[in-house]
Amino acid sequence: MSDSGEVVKKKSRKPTDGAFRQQRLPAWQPVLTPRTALPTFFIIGILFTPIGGLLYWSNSRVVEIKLDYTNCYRYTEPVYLAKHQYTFQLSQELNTSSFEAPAYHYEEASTFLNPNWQNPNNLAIPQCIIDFTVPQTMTPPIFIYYRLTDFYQNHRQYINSFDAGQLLGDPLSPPGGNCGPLRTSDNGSSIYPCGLIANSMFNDTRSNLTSVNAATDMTYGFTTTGIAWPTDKDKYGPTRYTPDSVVPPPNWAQRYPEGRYDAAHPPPDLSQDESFMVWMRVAALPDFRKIWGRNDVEPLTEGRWRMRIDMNFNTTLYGGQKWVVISTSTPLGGYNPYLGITYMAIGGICLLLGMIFTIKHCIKPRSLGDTTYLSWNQPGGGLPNNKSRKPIVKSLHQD
Amino acid sequence: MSSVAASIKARWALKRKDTLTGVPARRDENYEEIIMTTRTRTSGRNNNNSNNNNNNNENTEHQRQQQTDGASSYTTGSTSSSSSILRQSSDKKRTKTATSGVQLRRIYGAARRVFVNLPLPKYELDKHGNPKRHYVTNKVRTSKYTLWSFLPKNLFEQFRRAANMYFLGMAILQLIPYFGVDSPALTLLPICAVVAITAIKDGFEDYQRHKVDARYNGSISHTLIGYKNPNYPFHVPLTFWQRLRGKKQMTPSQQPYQQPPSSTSLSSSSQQQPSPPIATPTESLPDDKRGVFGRSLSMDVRVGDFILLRNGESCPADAVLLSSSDASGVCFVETKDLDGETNLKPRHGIPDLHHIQSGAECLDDVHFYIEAGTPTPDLYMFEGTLVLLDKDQDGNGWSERKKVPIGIDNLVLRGHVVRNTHWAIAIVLYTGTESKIIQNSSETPSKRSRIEKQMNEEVIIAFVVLFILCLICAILAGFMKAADDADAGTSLYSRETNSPAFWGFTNFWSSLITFQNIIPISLYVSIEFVKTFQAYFIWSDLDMYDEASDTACVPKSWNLSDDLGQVEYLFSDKTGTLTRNIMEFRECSIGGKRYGNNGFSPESEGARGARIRKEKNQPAATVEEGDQHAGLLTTAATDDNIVPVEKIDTIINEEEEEEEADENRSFQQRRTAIFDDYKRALYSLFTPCYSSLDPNRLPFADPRVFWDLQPKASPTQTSTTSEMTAAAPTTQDRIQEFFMLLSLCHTVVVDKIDKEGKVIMEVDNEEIAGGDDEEGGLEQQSQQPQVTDENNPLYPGEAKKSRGFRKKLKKNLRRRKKDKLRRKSSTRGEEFESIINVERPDIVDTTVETQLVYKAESPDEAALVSAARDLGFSFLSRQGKRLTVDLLGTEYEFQLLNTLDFNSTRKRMSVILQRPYPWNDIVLYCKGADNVILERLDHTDPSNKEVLQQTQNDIDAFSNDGLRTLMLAWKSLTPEKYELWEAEYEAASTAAENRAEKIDAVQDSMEQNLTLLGATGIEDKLQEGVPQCIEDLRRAGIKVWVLTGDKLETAINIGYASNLLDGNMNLWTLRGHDQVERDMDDTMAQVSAALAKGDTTENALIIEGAALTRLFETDDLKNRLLELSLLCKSVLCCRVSPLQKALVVEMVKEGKGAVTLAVGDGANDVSMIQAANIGVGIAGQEGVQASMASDYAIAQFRFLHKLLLVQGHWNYHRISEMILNFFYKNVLWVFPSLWYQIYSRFSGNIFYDYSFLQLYNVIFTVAPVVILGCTDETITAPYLRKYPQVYEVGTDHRLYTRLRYWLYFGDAVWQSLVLFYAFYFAYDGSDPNPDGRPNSMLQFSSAVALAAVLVANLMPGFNTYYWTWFQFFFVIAELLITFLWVLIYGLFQSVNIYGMGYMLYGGWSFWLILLLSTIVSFLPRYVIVFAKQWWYADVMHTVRHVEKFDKKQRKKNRKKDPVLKDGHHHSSSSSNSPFSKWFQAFR
Repeated sequence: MSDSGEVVKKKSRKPTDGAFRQQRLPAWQPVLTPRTALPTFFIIGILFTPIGGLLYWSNSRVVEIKLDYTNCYRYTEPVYLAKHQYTFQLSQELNTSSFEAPAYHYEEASTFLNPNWQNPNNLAIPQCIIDFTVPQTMTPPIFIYYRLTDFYQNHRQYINSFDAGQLLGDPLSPPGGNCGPLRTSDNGSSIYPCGLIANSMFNDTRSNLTSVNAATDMTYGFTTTGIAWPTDKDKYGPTRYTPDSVVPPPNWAQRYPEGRYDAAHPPPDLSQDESFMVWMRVAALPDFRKIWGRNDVEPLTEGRWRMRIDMNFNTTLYGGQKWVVISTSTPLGGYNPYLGITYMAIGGICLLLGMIFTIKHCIKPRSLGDTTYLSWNQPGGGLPNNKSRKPIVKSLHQD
Repeated sequence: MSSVAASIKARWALKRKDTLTGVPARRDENYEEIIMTTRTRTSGRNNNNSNNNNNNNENTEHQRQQQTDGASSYTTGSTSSSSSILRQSSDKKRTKTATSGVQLRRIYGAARRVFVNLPLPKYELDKHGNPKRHYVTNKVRTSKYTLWSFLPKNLFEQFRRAANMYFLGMAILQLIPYFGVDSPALTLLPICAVVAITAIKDGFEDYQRHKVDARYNGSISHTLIGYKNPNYPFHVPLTFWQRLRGKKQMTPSQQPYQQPPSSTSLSSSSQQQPSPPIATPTESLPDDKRGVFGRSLSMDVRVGDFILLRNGESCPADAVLLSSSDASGVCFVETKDLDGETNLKPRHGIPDLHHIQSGAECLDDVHFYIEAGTPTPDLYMFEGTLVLLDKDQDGNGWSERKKVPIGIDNLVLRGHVVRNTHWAIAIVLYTGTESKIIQNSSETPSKRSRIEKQMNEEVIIAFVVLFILCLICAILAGFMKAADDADAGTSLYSRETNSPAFWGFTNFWSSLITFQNIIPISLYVSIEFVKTFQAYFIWSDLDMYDEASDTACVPKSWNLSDDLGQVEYLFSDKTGTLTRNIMEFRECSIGGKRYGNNGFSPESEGARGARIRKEKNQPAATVEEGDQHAGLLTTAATDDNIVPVEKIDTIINEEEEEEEADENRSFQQRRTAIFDDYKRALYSLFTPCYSSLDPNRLPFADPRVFWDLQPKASPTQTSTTSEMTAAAPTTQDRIQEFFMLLSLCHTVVVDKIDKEGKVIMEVDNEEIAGGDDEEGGLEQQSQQPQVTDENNPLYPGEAKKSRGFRKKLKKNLRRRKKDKLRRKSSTRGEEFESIINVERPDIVDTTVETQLVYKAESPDEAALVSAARDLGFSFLSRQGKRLTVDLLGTEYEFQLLNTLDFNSTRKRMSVILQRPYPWNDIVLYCKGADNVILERLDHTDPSNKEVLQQTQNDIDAFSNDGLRTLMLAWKSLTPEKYELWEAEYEAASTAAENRAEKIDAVQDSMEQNLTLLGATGIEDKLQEGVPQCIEDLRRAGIKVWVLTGDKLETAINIGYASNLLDGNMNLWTLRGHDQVERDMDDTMAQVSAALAKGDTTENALIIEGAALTRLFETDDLKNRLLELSLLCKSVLCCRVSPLQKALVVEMVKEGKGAVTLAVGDGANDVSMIQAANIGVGIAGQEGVQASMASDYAIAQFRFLHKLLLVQGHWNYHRISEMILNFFYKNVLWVFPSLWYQIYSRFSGNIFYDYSFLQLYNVIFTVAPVVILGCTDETITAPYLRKYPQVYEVGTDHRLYTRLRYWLYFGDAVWQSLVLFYAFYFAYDGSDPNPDGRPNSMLQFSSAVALAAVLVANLMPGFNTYYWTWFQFFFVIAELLITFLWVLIYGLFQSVNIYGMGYMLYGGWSFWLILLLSTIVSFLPRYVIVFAKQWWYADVMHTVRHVEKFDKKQRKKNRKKDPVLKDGHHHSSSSSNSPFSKWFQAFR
């Protein structure tokens, strides 16, 4: 019945002037012309190639030793590892084949290598003994990692299977949380720490490195402090549970008498257990490595070294591998040549494109603002049938 | 009748005296006395007066009560009587005893019988004695919600949308703990945000509607105080709450009406009638207010109420006009709001009720009922009967006095505005939703834009993709679960005990949560937002603002803005759209002699068209013109005389103007010479009193007219010779008759305006009426019914309900009073300000003393009468049947005997006049369409024959010049013959059946054997800039069709004038009814043959309405017609009806699937406007009907240029690009999650942190896309104006296609792969963190998320052609927000991404990969876009290059010549924004 304009009767309904209202705000109107596009290609090319080279070079200075000890439990006598079970990345040109290959075998042990762990159930612990050669002296900081493959820490139900409150120390009072099936044990007592992540914690323990065949016995130790993200430490606190009110997760049970915590075997103090924190930071991909320990001080001299690992974590159950990795580091993390290569490749591609377009531009130049490309007259008078018409190039400068 | 009023006035005057002197008036006696006297004096019709009196004596107690109420005292007589008053047919048997009764038939449904001053018959009453029938209130409600119903109703409305339902479902799904989503607040955030924004918008819209409603409902109308409307119960029915609270109180007050239902005692039914309403206000009603009209709100007006309409007031409801200030009961109304016509229409009162001149008479004098049918929306049809009743002699019953048929002529409709009439009294018949205007105001059919429809398909595609993704994930998840079950996987990762199949099933839902964002939740709300903005821009466009009418372009449908950029077919009305609907009398042919072609008036557009057609033989005319433009542009750019593009236009124009100026000068000289001649001739003949002598106002100045009038100079002389010359009429006679006809044969009304532009009132009756001189009143023709400022207290119930409104009303009243006081000091004329509206200064003609302004039903008529006036035949006034005309300085009074009205079937109008001395005869003057008049000429008359041939030649010449032609003829009648006919006519017009046909036949019999006088040629002026606009529209690839009701020749001429037709076009016409099929096939064959031969001659098709009727009969014919018309560049349809207009539009819309736009200005264009994809209404001469129904209302046709070629193009680009970018960014966002499933056992984990997932669409990426949709410009306006062919990207629908959708989709998938794998390779088996810190899934996903947000924000930036500071600001702001979000949100220890800022931003790898992935993501697009836009540029990009080039040139020149700097760059210099300097850097 009426338009709203009538509601308020103003003196004039003239719209207000203004750059915004009249849509003529000053503006940058980028137009892709050879003058703008070709330099872009060259700039990217010129920028990326050296960056790529730099990255590649810096990456190649990493020294990294990777050893697959998954099948160690099979051998009671030392065997050399097959080629695919170990890799060396060295910063110097050295012939890796001239070194003695790593060798491993296992022995039964009665105590864990981790001094904090007791063995109340007197388990026979398979201990893997790995001998390997460090071909060149590694400079600190040196990190030791374990690497797991095909372990899906990013599984939907796995990721969330922890209780943030419990980890902070709060008793798991409301029967909530995300721990799902691993919230309480069969007899009803709470599991601490609960959830799938904690349960599946990588529990191989390793010894320090000891030198083999060296003139003097050397040991090279790694510390487990300072391996977790500083922020992660805020997420954990000493528990307020009494030891007997909670039970360890199923996979932890063997380390405790009758699978229960007691005063002599109290629950671990998670706020101090950085390895636990590292584990709890679920990996992005099924092939991941997590830091096991670090040494920021001593260089690891070349020579043959021995390392013992308690084989508590069974990867064969799910078909994965476990590796031990000793590596130096760059600001970009461990050894990974991908970034440098890609940078160089993209730089190259851009240079190539720039070249191609330059040539094309030279062969078939077009001048900016040439109205000859505009067809004033649509043949057939803009009839609907001639949509697929070819533009009639008709010079407008007929004079 | 006048004496009645006079005495009442006297009575009031007397009473006033009483009050003054403090002597209490003996009310009752006095009152009765007056009543008695008036009765006896006025008429013998009502003989119940004595009864009245008797009863008064008998029953004073009761009487007093009634009187104070002032209600129907006439029925008191029946208190003790027992005879029947009214009976219904079903009661026939029982009431047979009644000797005189009124038989009423039963009426059904919404048909009604409205009683006035009558008791209701028993059957109309329920058992409480209240009327059974309930009429709708007059309250209008267009608003959807009330304060209380808003929330539930709006939510319901919103969740009816599939998209909202989907997202609500998703939100609920996410609240299920099983899926491990842990922040319910974030889950609900997007849907809540979307719903809330929409609700706010809906609420605002509804608030506007409320305001409009309140304005309508709260407008003031005048109803009769003291009138008890029998059609309504006395008390307001109790509402439930009132019943609960106050029933006890109410009961006693109800008693008087609650008569025990008695079927036997008829007296009882009559007895209940006189009971006065008990409503408290009436008790305090002073006597002098009785019969006075009081103010009431429009919404309180009820069926059966008396209303008073004063000049300039709008009628609140459909009402039957009873009487008016005019003695003949005529009331002029302006029907602009209903049918869009601005002219005045006469409405007639009921002849038997003309005597009603005051409210008091309404109360006492009249008893009748009105029977009317069901309300219909037909504005031109109404049938009803008004039955006047008299009280029987004995006063006991009622007898029928007269049945008066009432038609649409007697009806004043809601929305009509009373004009040129002091006041009118009417009875309300239909209220509220039953009134015609509201029945007509159907909601404009909701239209959806093409892109919107297409987009819905794309949303469905997205749904399908979503479904497929989820299904794939679900199936693979099942397999993975089976594999995990086989080894230890399950016990490690999930300990899920259900079967793999169930796992797959649940995984489907969790995948749904993961991928939900592929359906863009904020898309719909963003589109609405953007379209609101676009509507705002369209509204505020100064280029589409019309100074003269003070109207901007008003977008009524906000969702069609993108269609504006894709219009392929434009259908235009002619009159009022292409033409101005301003008629100018240009030429005439009198007795075979042509006048007016003397070169005084400038060449009409139509004539110019004809000339151009002849002159133009160059085939490439348009090319040349184009060359000129473009050439100028480039030379201007390359030469050093650099001109900013904005000014090129003006330069071109200036050059043209110079040429024109030369022409103009000589034309002006010629013109002045002619005018001097004209003036001399005029003064030689008579001294003008009313004729305009302003050459700029005269469209016609041919001194030959006066020369030919000269020989026997004065009319008196002519008259003496009239008998003699009747046999062989001289030229002089013919001319005289010709102009007399023009000044007499019309329905025009006159306003006299003095030099200040004030209306001169004839005799100011009111003033005298107000005086206390009793005699003075006797002579008065008309009186003003009394109006009080007090509110009508008859609506106590409503008063409670709408206290708010009442308060407002009071405020209104107070304000008005003030206004009135102020006004009193000024002249009388000002009160009638509304008649002469704002453009008063233009109206005043300073060359005449008293200016006559004619208001006519059609503009041609006014033009004709004005022309006659300027030539000395001035129509002065119309007083009932007396027409006063000044003929060459002498005034004559003609007696109008009959008017045979014009209508579209008759196509002619006649008047029969009694001419005074010196003629003393009866004549019939007739004017009409040439073919109609030709049939009616007396072919035996030799004088006719001689003139006829020449006149027809002249008419053809007029047509060729694009003039509208009318033929004039007359004959004289003998009194005997006339009387005979008059009797026939009378019989026909009172016939009960087939009245219309009979009248037609009788009229036809009269209009025979006429003598031809001549013909007139009226120019229908083209609107400003129409030819150029059409030229540009066509260059833009829009096919313009003209659909007009005009005849073929006129249409063709307008076609040429407006550039629709070229000189070198082949014109194909299809006319007639029978052979049209064959013709069409012939044409088709020839046209296609020519096209096949490669003939480039353009074709134009002209179809007549009759041919269309035939061709629309079958679908096959229709398709063939469509096929043919598509081969033609222009199509003109003439003589088409409104319905056919709509059918043509639909034919193209459906047959071609093209976007159609219909533009029109009149009510006859409404159907077409509603049928087209976009309806544009021209809010001009013919009122608002078309613009009401339209989607865009503009003031001038030429604004279409800006609306389509600039705004439309922009909007199309904006919406297309925005929607594509929306889909793009959502696909980009979702696909990394899919890739991640491959590496996470298809477990359906949510890849991104939950906050990213929910905020991505709502906050992180929304602004640049929306800014792109709001402010992007492919090309700036001056260049779009210059290069209209850019528009073809829209007509070809190139910007929003399925292909582009998939390209954007594909690009998104590619970019998602890049983003995902760029980070994947850094994380796979490795660790990108320095210091050996462990990576994590969240670190990985946050990195990908940030990269995705970066790319998704850069992408709309990349697609933005016009980076205003908004785009810069919002792209940067969005990125800042997102990156800071990670940092700041990550400071909270309880969130999952705790510390993520440090983890990501602390290492080099993140930044390096981010840079890499961004570059690689854009590389293919950049390369392709560059190559495409540079080497394979389409028209749009070519123009962008041109613009860029010009800009560069300008910059260069500015550097060279800094003086130019300020003047040229108005856009940058006009901006005061602090950013402007910063922006200089980018230019």
